[in-house]
Amino acid sequence: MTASLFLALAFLPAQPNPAEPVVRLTVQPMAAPKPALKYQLLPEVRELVPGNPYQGYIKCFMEQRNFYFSKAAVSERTKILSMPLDQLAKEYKDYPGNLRYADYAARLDSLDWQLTQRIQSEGLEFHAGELPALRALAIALQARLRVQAANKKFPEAIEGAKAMFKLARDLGEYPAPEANLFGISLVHLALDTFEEMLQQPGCPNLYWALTDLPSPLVELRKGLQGYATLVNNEFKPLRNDVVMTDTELEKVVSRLSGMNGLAREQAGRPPWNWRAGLEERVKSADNVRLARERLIADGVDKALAAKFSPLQVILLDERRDYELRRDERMKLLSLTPGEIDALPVGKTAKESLFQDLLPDVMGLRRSQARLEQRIALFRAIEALRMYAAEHGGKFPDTPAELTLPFPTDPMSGKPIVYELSKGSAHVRGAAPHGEEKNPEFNLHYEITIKK
Amino acid sequence: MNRFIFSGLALCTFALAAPAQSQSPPVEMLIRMNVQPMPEPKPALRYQLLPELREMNPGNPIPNYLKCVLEAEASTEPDNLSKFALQQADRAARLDKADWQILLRAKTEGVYLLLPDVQKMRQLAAALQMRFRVEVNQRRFDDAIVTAKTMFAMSRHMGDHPTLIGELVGIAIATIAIGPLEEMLEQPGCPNLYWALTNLPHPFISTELGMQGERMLIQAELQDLDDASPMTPEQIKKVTTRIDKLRDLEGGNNKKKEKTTREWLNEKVKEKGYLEASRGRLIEFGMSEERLKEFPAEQVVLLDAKLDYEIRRDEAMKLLSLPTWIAINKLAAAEEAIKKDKDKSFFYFLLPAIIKVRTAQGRLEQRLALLRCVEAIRMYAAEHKGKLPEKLADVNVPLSIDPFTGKPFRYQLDGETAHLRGSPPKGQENIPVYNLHYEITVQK
Repeated sequence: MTASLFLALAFLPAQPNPAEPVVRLTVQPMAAPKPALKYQLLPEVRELVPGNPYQGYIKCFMEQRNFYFSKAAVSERTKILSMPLDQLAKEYKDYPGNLRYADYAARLDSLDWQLTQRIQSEGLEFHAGELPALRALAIALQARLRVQAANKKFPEAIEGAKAMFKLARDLGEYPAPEANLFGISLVHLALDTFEEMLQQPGCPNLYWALTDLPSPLVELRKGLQGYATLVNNEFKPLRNDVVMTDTELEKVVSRLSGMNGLAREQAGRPPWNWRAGLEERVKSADNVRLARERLIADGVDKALAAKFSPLQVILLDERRDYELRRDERMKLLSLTPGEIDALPVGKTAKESLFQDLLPDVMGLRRSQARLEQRIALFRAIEALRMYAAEHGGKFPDTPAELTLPFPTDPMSGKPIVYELSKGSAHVRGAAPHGEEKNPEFNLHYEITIKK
Repeated sequence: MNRFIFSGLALCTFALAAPAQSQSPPVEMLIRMNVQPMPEPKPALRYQLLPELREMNPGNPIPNYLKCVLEAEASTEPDNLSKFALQQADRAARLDKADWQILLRAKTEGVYLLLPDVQKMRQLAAALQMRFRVEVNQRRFDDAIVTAKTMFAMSRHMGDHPTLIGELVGIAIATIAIGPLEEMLEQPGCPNLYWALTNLPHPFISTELGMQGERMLIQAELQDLDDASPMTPEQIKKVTTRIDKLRDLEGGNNKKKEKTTREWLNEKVKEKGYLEASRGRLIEFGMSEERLKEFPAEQVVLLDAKLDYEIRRDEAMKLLSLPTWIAINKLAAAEEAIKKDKDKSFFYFLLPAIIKVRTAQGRLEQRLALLRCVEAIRMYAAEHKGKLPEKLADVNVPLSIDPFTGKPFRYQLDGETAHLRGSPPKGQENIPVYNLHYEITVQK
């Protein structure tokens, strides 16, 4: 959950169910704009200009150190992001900074992060160096959005939000999962401010703008494939077509041991003696024999496999095992978390030597679905505002009364949970399996019509 | 660097060009080199100063260069580029398709086009220069050649920038690289770089794109001046306002108050015979007489002034491709003629400082050519038991002529010391950087 959403939730009164904190919105009824797609959240083709947005995003920072990174500027942005909207409108009529280059960059048409060759040749030390700076850009864009929302400059705010949504979408094309996750968190930043903007009198209805967004808005496929490629590069020196010398094998072991340790540390798991685990496997004659048989079954020449040392056999077998486990995870990427939860659970195999290098597909997929769910909840809120505009400020008793499609919960694949209680509408998202008590996965909006 | 093209160009040329002339006697920039004799490497092109095709990868170097400084920008030490940032620069320099992605913006924004990235390239070059010097100091010649290639490739990529500022920065970066390269040639065991230097493209930085960019930027500024149909008073007002802004920009804060474009137009329209003469010139240059009759007087006068600017601009630009020693002399004469006619040319202030750019380009060519001579001398010494040649013509490899004279470099052997001198362009005789003097001795 984003920092500002946490902040918003922190100020809410205590809830009966701490696992499901309520976000209360007081909104005006609002009909759909005419034409229906007057407002959109991603740049349209007619706005696009030839060029690579990546280059544009980076250019935003050239000779702008003071604006993005000085203490004064960071402090001012923090102030803008934390001040109540009515006070913000009094203090700031316009955002104190020029982000027009970011707007321009977001409208360039041919994204190329220029990383394919690096991803294909580097290992797990690959470093997505531009991300910290892009985070500063994201915060600046959110601050501008908040100033515009506070001043009820809705068309400008929506135009400016396009840069946030586009940057997020572009980050979905970055071949590293951390960049994809950053893209997801960036959309949450925009939605945090949208929550406030929707409560401003006169805010246009964004039902169709939200409906028109691609789904998923931020992709994970490239990031996960990029990660898998980096891991694969780490395995490249491990050969199954020649007998490796002890020196070559030691070099491989040393490298893989370091990479596993690093991955384990980054995942916050307790340290593990990887070399001891390897030695244990190598010492077991049965283990080596079975591993050799699996390699032969997998297509390695029998005569050649017979010449492999036990260490080479175990390493190759563990790599084969890793690849199987990796694909078992990666294949789930296109399923909803609900569908994944419903799959039969396979028997737990012994922990793999390369367990720590496996991609966290489930965690990433849930983060992605949580964003999709939040967008769906926003669509539901906007559908309710539209209904209220046509029905004297009343909400429907059931979603069936809506003439618009009521969104499906991307987490569960079922309709968003709707309830009308004491004149207020409640929309809720479902939590994935095992996260029923986690507030992050239990979004609940209570919507009241402004009198 | 100032953000706008005009003042940016002025600054760049200032940084590259020499200080103002003085009346003091000629001062040379003396570079003492105590070198080892060294034959050419085998294979001859074992060492090169630009990345070869086999080192290249697909991609656009420009965002990859900018990424090098991006991490530092976000850190607490923005001026210190990390080892990894410089490795990123090595990678960037070996990408095959430079695209600055500013063409469309340049077409619409004119001289207001922002170039913040250009200045950052200088910062990157300065950091690479430090690494280059360390490698030279430690006699890690292979590593030093990698850095030299990166810097020279960066410099060439700046040459692909469609502005004169970009090209001047390219020249500056190559010049930054030459310092450590000279130091490297003095190190014991340094390979002979004669063929590496010979194999560099000539000119090393072309000004062709920058000049075209210059034409395009001004065209963008005057795009609202219609030559196809009559303009309304509002349209003319829009044009004159934009020209006034340009004139303010050119002069900066210290500019003395001049007539506004509107005042100048009013004066010219009333001046006896001026309008007819303007119309006559436009007809002479191919505009339809019938159409011109429909144009308001202000539009005719402005179109004539624009035509005058284009003629004067091309009179200078056409000389750029001539050999340096011819181009510089002719450009000086053209500039003199333009200055003399300053009052007759309304758009005088838009004419680019072509001679400064061409001189900076020539200076880089001269320095590279002089280094080629030094390497030829080292090669000669290796073949003649450490002896230096009596005459430059004694070396048995081809040598460049001095770009500023069109003649061989001045060479003199004084005992065991050779003196190699470049000649200054006309008017720069008293400026040290235009009077390079290499004093070469052989290590015992």
